[in-house]
Amino acid sequence: MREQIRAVIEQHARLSVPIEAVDDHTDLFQAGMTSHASVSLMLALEEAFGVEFPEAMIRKATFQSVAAIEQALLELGGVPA
Amino acid sequence: MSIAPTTTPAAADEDLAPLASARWFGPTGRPLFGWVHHPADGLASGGVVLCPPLAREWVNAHYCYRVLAEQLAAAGLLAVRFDYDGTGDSAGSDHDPDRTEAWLASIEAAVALVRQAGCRSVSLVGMRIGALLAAVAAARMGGVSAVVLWDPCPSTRSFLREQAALARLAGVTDHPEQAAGELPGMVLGPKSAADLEALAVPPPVTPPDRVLLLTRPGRRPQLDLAQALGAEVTHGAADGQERLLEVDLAERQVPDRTVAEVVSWLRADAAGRSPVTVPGTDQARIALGATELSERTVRIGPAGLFGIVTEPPAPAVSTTVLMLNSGNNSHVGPSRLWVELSRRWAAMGVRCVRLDQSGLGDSPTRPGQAPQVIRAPENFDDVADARRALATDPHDVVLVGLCSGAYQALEAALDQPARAVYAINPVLHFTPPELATGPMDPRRRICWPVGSVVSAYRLLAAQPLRRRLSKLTWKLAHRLHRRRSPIGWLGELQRAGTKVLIMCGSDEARSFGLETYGSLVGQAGRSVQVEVVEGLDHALVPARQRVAVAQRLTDHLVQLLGTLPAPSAATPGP
Repeated sequence: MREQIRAVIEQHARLSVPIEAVDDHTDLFQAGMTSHASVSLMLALEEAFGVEFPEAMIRKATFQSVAAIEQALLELGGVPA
Repeated sequence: MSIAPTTTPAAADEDLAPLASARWFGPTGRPLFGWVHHPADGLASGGVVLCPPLAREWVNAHYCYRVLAEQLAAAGLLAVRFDYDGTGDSAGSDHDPDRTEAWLASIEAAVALVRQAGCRSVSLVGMRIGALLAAVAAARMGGVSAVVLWDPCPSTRSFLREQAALARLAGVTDHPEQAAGELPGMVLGPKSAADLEALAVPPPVTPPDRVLLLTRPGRRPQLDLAQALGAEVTHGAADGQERLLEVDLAERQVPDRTVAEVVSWLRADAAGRSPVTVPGTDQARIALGATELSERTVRIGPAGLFGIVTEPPAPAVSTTVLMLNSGNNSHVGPSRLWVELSRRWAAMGVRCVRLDQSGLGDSPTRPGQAPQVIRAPENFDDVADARRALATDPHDVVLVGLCSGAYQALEAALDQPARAVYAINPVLHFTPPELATGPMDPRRRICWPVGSVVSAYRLLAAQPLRRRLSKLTWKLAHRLHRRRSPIGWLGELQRAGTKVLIMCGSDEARSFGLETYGSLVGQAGRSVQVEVVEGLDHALVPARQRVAVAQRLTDHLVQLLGTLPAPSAATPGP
C-alpha cells in the first residue's frame, strides 16, 4: 500500500523534493505540498483506493505524511483500485 | 488631479471610445456589477457573456477573464464579464437564500444586457462551476448561439467537496471552527448547497448552434454535460488550468493558448458587424437592511486607476476609508471583505473606497509597468493619487490593507499622515520587484529586503536551540537598520497623529519582534496597537476569522471617529 501511496504522492503532491527524499514520516507540507496540491492528492487517493474521505478526516494531519495517509486509508478500508 | 466616472453619462450610449466600461445592470433594487468590453469602432459581430467560476476559483480566474474579454473585444465581439448576485461587487451576499437560482438569474440578466447593447447573437462561456451554470442557463433560455464549457466540474457535488476541502486545508493550521458549507471566500447555507448539488441541465428550449468542450489533459471529458445541450460538440484541450487555478494567487498564469482558442472558436462564424452601445449605469443603489447606499465607479489620477466609492445616505464624518489590494486580489478584498466592510461602514455614515492599484484587479498599468506585480514601486504613486483625488483632505483618511496592502498602507501613512492605518498581516520582509533591475526604491521605509541581515535573523529564529542567539541578532539588526525598525517608524506614526491597528498571526508578528523581543512595539505608545491573534490565517480564509477581524476594525473605527449611527438591526455583518 505504501508504494502505491508514494506513487500517488509523486504524481499529485507537487513536492519540491524528489520522492526518493521522502520517508514514511516526512512532513509533506514541509516538503513543498501546497493546500491546492493537497486537495489534488486527496482526490487522487480517493480514486486510487476507492474511498471517500469524510469531512471529519479532511484536515492537514490526514495528509501530513505517507504513514498518516496509510493510517487514514486503512481506517476507511481502502484497497488499491 | 482628475476624477471621473469610468464612462461619462454622455459617453455611455453614444461614444464607444473606451474599450471597457464598468456597469451596473439587472434588477434596480438588487443591481449586478460587470464590465462591458467592446470593439473600439463600436461595431460588434456578436456578444459573449463570461460566466465566472465561484469561491477560490473565482479569485484565480478573475484576471484571466479580463484578458479573455479584452481579446474578444479586439476580435470584434462585445464581451460582458460580471459578478453573480451576492458575489464580487454585485448586491447581496452569500448568506442570502436561493443562491443557485440567483446565479442563474444573473446570467439571464447579463444576456439581456448584451441584447440591449444591440447584439443579435449571444454566446456563453463558463469555466468550472460557471460552465455548469452556463449550460443550465443556455438550456432554460434558448436562443443562445454557442456555449463554451471550459474545464467543467465533473459535478456540482465534486465542486462543493473540492472547495470545502481547500478551505479546510488552506493556511498554516487546521481550522476546526470551519462552518458547514464553508468554501474559500464564501459560505453556502444548507439549502443553497443542496440546490446547487441537485442542479441539472433541463431539456433545452432551443439548443445552441454549437458547443465547445475544453477538457484538461488527462481528465475525462464531461460528455454528458455537453451532449445535454443537444448541439454539435467540438472538443479542445483546457491547457494550463493547474497553473491558473491550483496555485497561490501570486503564481497564477493566464492560459494564453486556451484563451486564444476560445476567441478563435467564437469568432469563427460570427455574423456581420453592427453598431452596439453600452447599456447599464455607472452608479447603483444598494440596499443594506433598511439603509440604501449608493455606489459609483471612478477613474483616478493620470493612470486612470479603477475604484468603487460607497457613499452613505448622509455622511456622518468627513473621513474617507481607502482599501487597498491584498496581494493579487482585486479591489473586492480578501474573500470579498472590502465589499462587505465598505457597505457596513457606509451604512454607519462613512464614505469608503476600494481601490485597484496599478496593474492589479481592474486598473491599467502605468507606462512601462508589468501587470499583476504586487508591491510594485508604482503603488506609492497610486495611493498618493487616490488620497488626493478622493478625500477632501488627504490626511483625513483611514488606510486599510492586508498582506501587501497592509505594507503599502503603512508606507503611505509614513509618507503622509493619516487618521489611522488598519494593517492586517502586513508582510515587511520581501524582495521588492525593482531589485531585479536596479536599486530599491528610496521611498520604501519599512521593507526589510530578504537577503539582508533579516534573513539571518529569520534563519536563526527557526532554530529553537539558537533562540538566545537569534534575540541578539534581532537586536543587532535593529541597531544596524534603525530607520527600518518598527520602534522607529511606529513612533514616527504616533508623533504624526496617525492611529495604528495591526492585527497579525504569529508568523507576521516576527516582523515586530514580538516573538523574541517581548514588548518591542509597546515602546511606540498607546496609539499604536499590535495585536497577535493566535492561528490567524494569512488571507483570512476562515469565515469566522473574517467576522472577528471585521468586528475589531469596526470597533476601532467607531472609537476613532466618535459617535456613528448604529447600522439598522437588519444590516448583516460580514
